[in-house]
Formats: sequence, structure tokens, C-alpha cells
Amino acid sequence: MAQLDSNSRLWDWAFVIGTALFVLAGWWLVAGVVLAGTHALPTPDALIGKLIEDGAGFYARHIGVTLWSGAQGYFWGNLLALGVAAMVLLVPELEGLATQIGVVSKCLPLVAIGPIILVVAGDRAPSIFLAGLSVFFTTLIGALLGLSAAKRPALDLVAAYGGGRWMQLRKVRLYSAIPALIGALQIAVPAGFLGAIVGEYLGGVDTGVGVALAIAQSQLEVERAWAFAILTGLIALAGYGLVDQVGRRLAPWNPAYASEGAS
Amino acid sequence: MAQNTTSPRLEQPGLHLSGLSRHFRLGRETITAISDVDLTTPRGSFTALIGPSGCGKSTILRILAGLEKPNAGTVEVHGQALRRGAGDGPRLGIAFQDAALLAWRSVFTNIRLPLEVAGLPVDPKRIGDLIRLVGLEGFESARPAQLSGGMRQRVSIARALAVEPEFLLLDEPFGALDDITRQRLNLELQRIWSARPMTTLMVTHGLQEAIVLADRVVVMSPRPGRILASIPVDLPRPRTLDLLRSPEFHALQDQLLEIMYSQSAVASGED
Ligand SMILES: Nc1ncnc2c1ncn2[C@@H]1O[C@H](COP(=O)(O)OP(=O)(O)OP(=O)(O)O)[C@@H](O)[C@H]1O
Ligand SMILES: [Mg+2]
Repeated sequence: MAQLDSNSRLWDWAFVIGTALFVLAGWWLVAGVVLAGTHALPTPDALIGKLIEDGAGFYARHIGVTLWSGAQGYFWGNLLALGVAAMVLLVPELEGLATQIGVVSKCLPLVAIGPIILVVAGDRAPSIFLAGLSVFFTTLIGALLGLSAAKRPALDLVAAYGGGRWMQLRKVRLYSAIPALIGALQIAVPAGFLGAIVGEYLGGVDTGVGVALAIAQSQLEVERAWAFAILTGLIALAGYGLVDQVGRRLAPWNPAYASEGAS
Repeated sequence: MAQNTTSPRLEQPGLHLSGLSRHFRLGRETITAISDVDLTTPRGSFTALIGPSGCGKSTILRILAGLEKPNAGTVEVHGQALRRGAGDGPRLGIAFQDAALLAWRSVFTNIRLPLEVAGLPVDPKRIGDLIRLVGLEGFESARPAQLSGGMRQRVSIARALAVEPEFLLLDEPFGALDDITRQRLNLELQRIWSARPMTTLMVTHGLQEAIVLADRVVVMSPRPGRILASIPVDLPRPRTLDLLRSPEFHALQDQLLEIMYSQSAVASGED
């Protein structure tokens, strides 16, 4: 079995590396041949050259600032979403209202609200706010879905032994909500990060990925813009994976992982 | 009943179902699951309920467990009307048709669940005994997803017994098991029940286990489910597998088969 295991893991890696090489080759082809001379997309070597030229410190400074805003937004947005979900839990009649709040939050004209927040709270507030807002919707919907995910037989079981609504909640509903909730918290990571970047576009700050991107654009620093895009993409991916790992630790029984139980 | 009439428990009321009917709406149609079901059994007796698929056996159990309300009729258990969620009725143990285990709990904590819900003290040693009883020692900390279908069913049986019930509902508890395991668990269940008779209603498709376990076998008609016959099983206990070779066993089995076949012919219009 161990043989089979390590073999299949080897194949996994071969697949990842193969895909990466394929993407890299495609990138090179598009940037160096198809779009050559347009400055729309730098070749990989030009991009790495730019990364080295600017220095790790430069990217770390901007990304670090944005990451911190995004993390704060992620925290507050999720907290608020879970709070609303908890209220729905206590008063199920509120579910319709909560969903509406979620949808409205998604439809808010961010570009209009951002400046108001900037004026009122200033500094990093728009970035944190937009990150929180982006996170709020996904987590709220995930939590609400999760709360209705409990299976009838499990609820019946508790009821048959004399358990009421509260007992069903404690013994069944909360646990049944975990898979959907973890999924939502994962999707919220890139959403929150993106929200933080967009918030920085609104101005009022002089560091952050959003600011650096705006400057790179105005100076036609295409390589730098792409370097930021790729670095932030990788970081969002890493955050997504981190939440996944936490989820696996906390709820190894999650049916989402069932197909991997064999390894 | 030669054996059991000596027991004073049998003088007391066990289950009493009277004029029980239940229908369901399915789109624009109304499906009558059970119609005018009457059944009276003494306290501490074991009743087996057999009948074709879809005739309303699970529905009767769900009503008795307080999970569903009948459209007509009344139900009493040990002389008391059912009150959902009431802790003052006879203590119920139930095993559903699908094992209904909680995915996030281990075998051990799944079996413990009824005690937690009912607020009863948890004795780990007793739960260990139940796990051994259903042959799952070594799987205490396994999760349901890591068990086979039959193993899950055995957890569900152990869980039904965890509260030391006075009133036991079993819905095809041994349906997913092989013959050998089923027979072993049949005998174990008989042993437990004989040591402490519980008013038991067990749904089964197995005539053999119905006769081995029950004081009375109740046969239902195809949907809409009615009670066709209620046949006493006057065989001495403890019953062993030798019983399966006795003429009395075969006479009973033939009698039950005849009732069931006559009805399925009527239902499919071949008569
Ligand atoms: N919640 C429900 N909604 C609609 N119809 C239902 C519901 N529960 C049961 N029924 C119907 O009632 C009838 C009886 O169902 P029940 O589960 O009691 O059958 P059963 O005798 O236990 O069958 P089986 O031996 O296959 O388990 C079926 O026709 C089923 O479709
Ligand atoms: Mg059934």
C-alpha cells in the first residue's frame, strides 16, 4: 500500500510541475511572440528581472500593509456575518431579512461608499471596510446554508429522545453547518484580499498593493503591475489553503474530504 | 403464551393503537400510508411487524416515537398518551431504518448521544459493554464514514439500548446484516429482552427472526396499510436456532406466508 501511496503522490507532483511548466511555456509564447512589442504582458524573465530590481523589501512593504487591512476586514466581516447568522439561529423568522442584508451588502455601490468612509474614518478604513464587506456576504450565505444543512433523520433522532429545538441545535445543527461554513470562509479569503486592494484605490494612503498598482500603471510599469498581480494571487491561494488545512484539523469528518479518505 | 402468562407485567397495558390513520400529500395526490390500524399489546411483550414495502410500518413507528402525528386515531404507551419530547413517559429506545448516525461523532459518542439528550448519567463501562455486544470492539473511535453499512446498523442498535429503554422501537434493525451476524444478534437481543422485558415493536422483513424473537407477529396489508392478522407465537423461551428445524416453526412460517401471499395476489389484481 505504501508503494501505491508514494507512487500516486509522485504522480500528483508530476502533474503539478507539468501544469506549471505548461503555463509558463504558454505565458512565454503569448508574451514574447503574440503580444511582443505591445507591453501588455511581460515575459517571465522580464518579470523576474523586475522583481529583483525592485527588491523583495519593496513588494513586502506594500503587500504587508494590504494583507493587514485584508486580515482585519476578514476578521470583522466574518464576525459580523456569524453574528447575523447566530441571530437567525435564535430567531429563525429573521432568515429572510438576513439574506436580504447579505444581498444588499453585495450590491452596495462601493465606489460611492468608499469616499464617504474615507472622509469619515480616513486612512486604512476604506480598505478594511471593503475587505469586510466582501467577506460578509460569502460567510453569511455559507452560514445560513449550513444552518439548514442538518439532515431530517439526525434531527428526528434527537427529538425521539426528548430533545427540543435547543438540543437539536447543540447536537446536530451546529455541526451540520460546519462544512458549508468552512467552504465559505475559504472563498472569503481571496474575496477579502481583493476588497482590501480595491479599498486602497480610493486614495488617502501612500502604501499598499492598490496604491502601488495605481502608481505602476501611471508610470507604465507593466512588469511591476504583473509582479504584484502574481504575488497577490499566490498569497490569496496560500490563505485559501491555510483555511482548508484548519478546516481539516477541526472537522476531519467533513464529507468534502471523503474521497481522500483512502490515503 | 404458556411461558409468559406467569409474568405480572403482561397484565399491564403496553402499546395501544386505536383507529390510527395517516396520509401524506404527494403533489396533488393524497397517499394513505396507514388506515384504521388497531393494535394492543401487553407491557413487556415483543411484537414483530411485517408487511410489504411501503405499507406504512415505518410510519407507525414514527408515530409511536412522537415524530409524526396521526390524522386520526389515538396512541397510548404503557397507558399514557404520547407527548412529544416529554420526559415523563416510558423510556424510549429507537433504531431507525437508516442508521442515522451523526457523522462527526465516533462509534462511542454516537452510542452515548441518547444519554446526553435525555440528561442521563453516562457510564463508559456500560457503553463499552454495548459496543462489545454488537461486536464492534476496536472501533470505539471510528467515525461512521469509516464503517460498513452493517456496522453502522449495529451502532444504531447499541444506541437504541443505551438508555436501558422500557419501550423499544426497531425498524429493520438487522436488515443490512449477513445471516450469521443477524442470527447472533437475534439471540443477543432475545437475551437482553428476556433479562429485562421491554415493550418492543420490531419491523422486519425476516419471518424467521420475527418468529424467533416475537410473542406476536402482526402482518400488514399492502398500502394503504391495515392489520391483516395478529398471530401469537406460543413457543417456549429461550428460543434457539434449533427452533428453526421444528415443525411448530414451519407451521407458523407457512401460516404467515399464506396470509402475506393471499394479500399480494389481491393487491396486484390477480385474484
Ligand atoms: N414524509 C412523507 N411524505 C410523503 N409520503 C410519505 C412520507 N413518509 C412516508 N410516506 C409514504 O407513506 C407510505 C408508507 O411509508 P413507510 O416508510 O411507512 O413504509 P414502510 O412500510 O416502512 O416501507 P419499507 O418496508 O420499504 O421501509 C409510502 O408510500 C411513502 O411514500
Ligand atoms: Mg420502513
